[in-house]
Amino acid sequence: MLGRLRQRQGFTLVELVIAMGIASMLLFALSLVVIQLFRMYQAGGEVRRTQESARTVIESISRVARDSAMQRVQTSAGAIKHDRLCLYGTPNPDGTAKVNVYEDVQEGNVYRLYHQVFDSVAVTTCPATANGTRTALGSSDVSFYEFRATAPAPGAPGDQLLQVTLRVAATSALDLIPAGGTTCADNAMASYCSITSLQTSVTLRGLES
Amino acid sequence: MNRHAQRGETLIEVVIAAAIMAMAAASSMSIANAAFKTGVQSRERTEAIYAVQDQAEKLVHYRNTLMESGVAGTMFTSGNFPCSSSCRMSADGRQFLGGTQTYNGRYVVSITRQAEPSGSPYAQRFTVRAAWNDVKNHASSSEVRLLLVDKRGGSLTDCGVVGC
Repeated sequence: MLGRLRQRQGFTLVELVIAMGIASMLLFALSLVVIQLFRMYQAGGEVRRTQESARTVIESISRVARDSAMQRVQTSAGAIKHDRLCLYGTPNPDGTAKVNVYEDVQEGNVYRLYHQVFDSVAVTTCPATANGTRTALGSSDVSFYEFRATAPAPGAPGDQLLQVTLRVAATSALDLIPAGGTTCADNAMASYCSITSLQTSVTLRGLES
Repeated sequence: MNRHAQRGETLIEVVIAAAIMAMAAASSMSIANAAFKTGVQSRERTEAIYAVQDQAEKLVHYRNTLMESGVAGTMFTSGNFPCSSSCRMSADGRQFLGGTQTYNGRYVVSITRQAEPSGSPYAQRFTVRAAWNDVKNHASSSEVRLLLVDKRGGSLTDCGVVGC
């Protein structure tokens, strides 16, 4: 009778505490691994999304620029540029032209790149895009945190060569961008940096054709 | 016997199980890390190719502006090149400069001028090449080759030498 009782005895409190301690350490280690795996998976998606948006947007701007006759750039203040770029078609005799406007606009802590076409605008002006009728380029979960257009003023030598720089970061990783930093090389968290930075030049050929 | 069969795992068994789990977790981490870095490599290659195309477009622009200025047949004579093995284009694309151009602080882009094909003064081959150390610390490079021809340079016979 006494022997059977001893046989059915459970764990002692000490055994239970030790067992739970070991189990919780294992679970903690496992959860760290799972969290890290998830972070990597997310960062991988961010790298691909920023790349996709940067490429499609810079290619679409390049195509429009190549067919344009002239450009006008409205440069923003500050080291990191949020410019406005106007690409005009062949001007009409009255000095107006169709214009494609690209504008980098801040919305909260995110920059969106907007595009709008105006059918007839004086080529001496570069109009702002209008809220409501403009379209946002690229994916909605990225920030176009730098849009820099560089070209001589219309009429100056070399005004047919337009250089566009685009830096795109995932909105979920904006806290990884250091103040004043523009590329992943500036970034302490470079291993998970999602910034894609593309720079390209286009020769405007609209007047030649 | 019955009592023995109902015993739980010994501490040794638990430790071995934990070690096996740790190895599995570590290997899954390294696989995930490699997958992530492959994505970053692809991003780096995209950025490098755009840097190369930036220089290539400026090179073509240089050819076009020289053609517009009407300096027929002289654009590819050696006097126009301050450099032969390592060049870059000025920001406005209107002249060659010595040395290389670095994009994004890491892609080193250089233009190399090859020997004039078939001795034609109206055509020139260029290689635009980007070199960088990638996220896996491998030396990587990417390049495009250009054949630029000054069609105002002479007759079509001159052009025919290089098949333009």
